[in-house]
Amino acid sequence: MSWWNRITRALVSDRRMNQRIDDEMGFHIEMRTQENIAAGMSPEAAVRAARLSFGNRAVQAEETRDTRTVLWLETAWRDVRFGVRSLWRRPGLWVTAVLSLGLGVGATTTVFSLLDAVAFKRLPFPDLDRLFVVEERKDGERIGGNPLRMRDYAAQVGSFAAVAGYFGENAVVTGRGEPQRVEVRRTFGAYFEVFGPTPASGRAFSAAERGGEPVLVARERTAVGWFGSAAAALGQSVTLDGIGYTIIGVVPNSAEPVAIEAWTPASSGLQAGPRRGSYLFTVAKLNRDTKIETASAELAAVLATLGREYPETDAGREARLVPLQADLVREARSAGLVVLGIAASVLLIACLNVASLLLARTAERRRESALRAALGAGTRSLVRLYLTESVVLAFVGGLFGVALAAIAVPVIRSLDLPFDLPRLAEAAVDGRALFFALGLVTVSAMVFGTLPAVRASKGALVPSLNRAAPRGRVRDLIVVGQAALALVILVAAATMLDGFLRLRRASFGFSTNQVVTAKINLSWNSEGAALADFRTRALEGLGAIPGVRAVGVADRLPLEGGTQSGPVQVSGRTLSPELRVKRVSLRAVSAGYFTVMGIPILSGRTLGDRGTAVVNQQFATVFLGEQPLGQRVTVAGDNVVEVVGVVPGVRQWAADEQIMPEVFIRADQTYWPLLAFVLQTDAPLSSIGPAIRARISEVNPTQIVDEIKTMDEQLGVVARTPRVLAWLLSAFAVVALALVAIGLYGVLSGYVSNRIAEIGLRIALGATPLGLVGRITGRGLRLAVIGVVAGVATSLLFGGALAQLPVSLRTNDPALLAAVAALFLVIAAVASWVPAWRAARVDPASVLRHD
Amino acid sequence: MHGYAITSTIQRLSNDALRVEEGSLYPALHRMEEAGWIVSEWGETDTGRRARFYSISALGREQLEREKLQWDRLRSGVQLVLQWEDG
Repeated sequence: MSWWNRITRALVSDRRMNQRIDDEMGFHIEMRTQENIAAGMSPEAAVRAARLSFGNRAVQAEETRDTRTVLWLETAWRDVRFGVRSLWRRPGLWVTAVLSLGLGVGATTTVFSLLDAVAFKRLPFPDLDRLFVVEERKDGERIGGNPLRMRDYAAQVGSFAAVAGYFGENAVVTGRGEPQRVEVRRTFGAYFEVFGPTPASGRAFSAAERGGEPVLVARERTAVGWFGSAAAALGQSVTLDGIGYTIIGVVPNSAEPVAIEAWTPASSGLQAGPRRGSYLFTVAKLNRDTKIETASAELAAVLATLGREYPETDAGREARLVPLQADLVREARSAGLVVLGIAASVLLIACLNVASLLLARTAERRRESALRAALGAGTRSLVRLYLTESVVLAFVGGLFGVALAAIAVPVIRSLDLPFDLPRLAEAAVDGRALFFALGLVTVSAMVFGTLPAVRASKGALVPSLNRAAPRGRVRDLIVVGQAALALVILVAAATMLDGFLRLRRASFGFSTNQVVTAKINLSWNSEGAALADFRTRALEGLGAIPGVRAVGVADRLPLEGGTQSGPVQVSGRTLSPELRVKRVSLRAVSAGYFTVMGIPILSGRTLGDRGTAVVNQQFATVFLGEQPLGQRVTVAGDNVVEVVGVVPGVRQWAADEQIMPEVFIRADQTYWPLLAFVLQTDAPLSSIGPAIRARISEVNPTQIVDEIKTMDEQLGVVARTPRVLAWLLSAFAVVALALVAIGLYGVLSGYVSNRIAEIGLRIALGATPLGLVGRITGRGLRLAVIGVVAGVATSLLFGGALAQLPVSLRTNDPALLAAVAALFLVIAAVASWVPAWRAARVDPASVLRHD
Repeated sequence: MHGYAITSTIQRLSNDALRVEEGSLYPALHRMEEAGWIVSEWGETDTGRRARFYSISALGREQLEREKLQWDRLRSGVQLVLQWEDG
């Protein structure tokens, strides 16, 4: 703290320090004078000689002061005060600068705060640094793990302290009041040893229980909800999907991930195999101090051995270790970085704007600088003065930006965002965000402060009565750079907007009008017969609701993907190798599905008895040829079905414009307990919703209806991510465009005012206003065109980065690039036209007289 | 010792061989004070004049020893070179 004491003391005693130096030097000269007198000089000559030998007293006092480091602070403070005062006199300048910097810093800090919470911050798992996902690949594609192989890793890879896997499930809890849905994690292996935490009361699963005993660990709030307190819950029984579990442990509410309410070992049947299933998310915890290279090498060796032991299932697999956090946040991170990059580009445009403004001001201040230099200001102090102004601007702009971010972050957090980002709720403009903003401010000040300061110092000693205008090359270059950056942002926004609009306009191949959907997830433990019985009775019950014209059921709604059919065979035909591996979608539906969704039967008839199938046109064309009806097709293992009808294609995924070949079979020909009922009705959701729940409750009182929505809402959900991103990027683009327009306007205004005399002369000599406007606008447009060319080139280079966004986009679309460039040039023309028009109205008499 | 006395003492002790540039004396003194090698206080001269008196601090003594050592090394080095020329 001693240096701090010194600083405070020195600041307080600054005046005393000056006094001391002055006294000391006065004393010195006096002593010398006396000595000179003693040596026989006259008093006048003695004083003169003393002063001569001492040299320039003021300069030496200054140098002595400068040795005091702490006085530097005093100088800085003086410069800051000066900077604030001189900026205050130019409200136009500082308001523009602070606004543009604020918007830039605000946007970037907001995006950073969100991304930090979602992807950068350490996930709160104990020993996170030792947790690695075992990522398995076959033929270059990532595929899931398997419980049996996981057990082999645990036993054979010495570097692993523990290995665990899990999958998530929705289960219905019954017997504790109304049936209620809970998020359950079904675990494999030493789950709590890997992920933590240690239960706060009770215990984790024992080695024996992990094999599939009906025991359960609950989150504290869930346990309290069931039994009033954690202690009361221990040892109690709770029924999930009809199976009774004993509660053996309770974990604190902070346990990650917070959405999970209960953990149980996966059923023993699942844990026992078969080995060919590939679905398990496997995570290993390395031994303390084990290097990842060692563990990876050992894992590879074990997998090679397993490949020889189980050639059918394990051969040809590769495994690598990916840090858990990197794996969990991968998508959010890459999409977020793209958005962050765009926000940072907006900030860069803002910085360039301020640089341009300050440069113009430096030109105006050439006389002031020259005067200061003449009065003895050194180059360094001039540079310091101008730099301080930039820093003051950057800080005020940064404060404004942080304030904007502090408003924006909670607003965004409260929006019901479509992304599955649990930690978004924790986003805040916290210390890390402030630190980030401070970095932005510093870099910004450097970007826009250095150039004007250097300019100012260079111009300082030039005799400045010479009023020749600066040529403004640098400002031209800045505008070109801004234009290029803005164009890149515009292209990104336009690409996103295009993706969103295409999605909205797209005809998906079904009608959404008057369609209500009800999703019911039955337990995966349900017997096939019980499932079929529930489906039939539910269809009957729902169909009997007054006002319901038709009802159907499907395993998945359109746009929510589809089940893969596996290899397809057509009787009497040998398919080409290409067709044999072609991906075919399989949808298990009831005949009513086509009626409700308004999907017409193009030829043949609708689904009938077991063994009939309907195919879409794409399937008919590719697999069946001229006469599709009556052909027999083998799909989904050994289901042999006869094609009785052909329907037009319906998109399987919203984002996919390619419609896959698809086969519709009866729902009872496959096992799938997640049911999506569709109803055609004019009744509003408010009356149809309770009616649906009542009918389902009649069929099975313990069954919950998970979600009731109109098909329009369902589509809205699908389009939400593109919509949010389109809005966000458009907002950035608008800000960027505005900043560039301001920049262009400023440069041309400066150009016009610097040449006002020349313009007056031209007008006096007969230049037409139209010609003048053309000349000046042309100058602005020339800069814009160069910027556009550079921007288009940059877009083409980096357009691929947009593929990181979770939306299907047409990148580098030439028509779109052309449209964006045209829009940009129109705006540039308007921004250039205003100063040009002003120039054309110059009164030559008054201008020429002025000089 | 005050600043003026320092110049004249150095001049006297070195038989006029070393003259302190008066202009660089005060910056140097202040720099050394900043570094903590010397301390200063107001005092009165024999003639009753108010002056700033400087004295060496413990830290300054250490630094002086280091500088002396440095100087000895340099001096003996120069001497060796000169002897070689003589021989």
